[in-house]
Amino acid sequence: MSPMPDSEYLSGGQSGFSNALLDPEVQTPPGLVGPDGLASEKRFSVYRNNVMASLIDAMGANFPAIKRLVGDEFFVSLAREFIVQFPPTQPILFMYGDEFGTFLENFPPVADFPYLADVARVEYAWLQSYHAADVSPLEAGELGNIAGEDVGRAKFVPHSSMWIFRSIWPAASLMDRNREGADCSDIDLSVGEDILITRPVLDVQTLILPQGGFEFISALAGGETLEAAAGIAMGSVENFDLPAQISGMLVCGAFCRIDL
Amino acid sequence: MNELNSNDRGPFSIGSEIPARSGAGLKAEHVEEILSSRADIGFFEVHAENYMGAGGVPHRQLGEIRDKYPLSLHGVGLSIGGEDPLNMDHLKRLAELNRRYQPGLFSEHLAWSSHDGAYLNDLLPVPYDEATLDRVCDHVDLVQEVVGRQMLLENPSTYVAFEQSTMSEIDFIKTIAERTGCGLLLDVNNIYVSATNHEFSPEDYLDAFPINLVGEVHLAGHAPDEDEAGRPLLIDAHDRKVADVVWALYERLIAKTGGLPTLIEWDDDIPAWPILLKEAEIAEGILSNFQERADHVANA
Amino acid sequence: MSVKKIAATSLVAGAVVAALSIASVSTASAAAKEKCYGVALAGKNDCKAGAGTTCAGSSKVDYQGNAFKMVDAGTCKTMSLPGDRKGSLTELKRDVPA
Repeated sequence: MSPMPDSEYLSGGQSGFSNALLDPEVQTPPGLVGPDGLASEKRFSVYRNNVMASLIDAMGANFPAIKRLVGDEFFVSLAREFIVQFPPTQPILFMYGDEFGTFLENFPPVADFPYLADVARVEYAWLQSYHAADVSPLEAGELGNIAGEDVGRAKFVPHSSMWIFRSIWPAASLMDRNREGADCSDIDLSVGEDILITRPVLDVQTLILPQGGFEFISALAGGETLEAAAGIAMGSVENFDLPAQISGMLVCGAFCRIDL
Repeated sequence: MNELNSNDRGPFSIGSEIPARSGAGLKAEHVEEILSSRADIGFFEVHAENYMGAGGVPHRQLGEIRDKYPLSLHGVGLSIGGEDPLNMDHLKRLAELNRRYQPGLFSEHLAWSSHDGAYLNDLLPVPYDEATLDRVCDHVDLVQEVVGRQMLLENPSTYVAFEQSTMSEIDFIKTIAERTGCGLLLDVNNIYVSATNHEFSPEDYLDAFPINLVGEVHLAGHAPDEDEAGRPLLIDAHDRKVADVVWALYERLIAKTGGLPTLIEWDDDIPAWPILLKEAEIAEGILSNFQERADHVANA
Repeated sequence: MSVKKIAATSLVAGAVVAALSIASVSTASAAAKEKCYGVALAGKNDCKAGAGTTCAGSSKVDYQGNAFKMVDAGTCKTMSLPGDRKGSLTELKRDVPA
């Protein structure tokens, strides 16, 4: 390795600078001065504060339901800890926080609130759906055009905006009520939810699936044929209403194309 | 449209398509009102990173704005001053946005924000020395090559100075423009913030700046603070109206340059649209005052 | 083709015909508003693009605190966990190993 140029040696370069930004325990890098030529902790702390405050704001914008669930003050501490452990890796901030669900699952101070992790996962998926590519959802007529003997072989290509998830918690209801600023004291935390997020046009839809819907749509999204997916769903749920599920699957915009 | 920008702007075709009027930073919450009121404003500027999703509402809104107003594209996350190589994925996304929306101006910052895989979401300062100069020039060259057009480079607000700097900020910026052929975005509020923080004269800075290379002006509000010795420390907060001292500097600039596209930036504690529009109208007033005087001189 | 296979094929084909005959299944974009599958949550979409960028510094200070403050402000505290536990957000110093 070639010797470091003087400039980068003096201040520890951007490694020293960035380490000190995220950890207030790390000393201010040398060689950074105010107008008197002296080092100034306060001046460097403007950068520390800019980084932390802007990223805490970003987390709050991406996870408004989590913020309301834990309260503003606690959220600041929580986001701060997350940011130190998982700083953003790229500049598109609406994509920041992919690991927040996993982080919450493993973070002892919120151990009494095990549903937070899934709420964070739903919020993140909601946001990615909001920004997903514009693709026309599947028209019901396309399925109608397929001959009866072939229709069972049809495979469905998931829409760019779709996300399906089974939570043992009412994660979609918790997200929705808290984003709307509504009371959530009556939400029964013992009821799980099968959640489907889609964005057929511009508005993101959050659906709590009827019984069997999760098995059926997951199987289709996983590349199973219509017939196989129907078999999987009928095998796992009693009284699986196949016509209603097919119609629902078309209506919700979860798929964009049929492959035969 | 008024041809305010009639004086010689130097060797580059800077600012084409964007009129020498005032514009505003576009915020999603204002779009509906802007379109329904058919706001009379010179142009809009957006942060590129907010439109790097694949689709949905943001692109729908930007398309509608682009149909009715000149558009300027302002990157905030490329880390041109970074020690690391430029993020090529990010640079390609910038190129794609330029291709898709054909903005009249495209700008980025003299700052760094990414290091060793982490994006720090702030415009961090660079030392003004030869090694940094070479690196920044290489990065600007690469940006202009990949995006396929000239970029404007913006002067920073800074809170610390580097002991090892060997040249002035103006010499540093001027050399980058000379070597790379980039244009400059002059943020007048940044001049005032840095001048206060480092105790130099903002007027001297303005008078020494290579104004013939300036393709766009930024204006914004700043927040007062002080350092541990009680010296004033201004924060480039973009969370309030433009300060009177900054308006005065802006008038001084426009008196020299004539009309230039001038953007009001308001990024935090975002006001109702009419308040932001009012700021843009103040800038527009200053632009037309000087235009009237220029016309008067030309006709005499 | 086995008898079982033929039965499955006709079952699916019949279900598709029935599905398509369910009123207002035309296009997902139009029909999504009907909310006839599962429970559609009300959530509004206005201006929820998530975090945006800024090229400004922050005038909001005091994000340097290390301690988690135990607060009762969040809606978490209004809900009972199964077993009627209320739960609490734990106070934790960052330098205390968890």
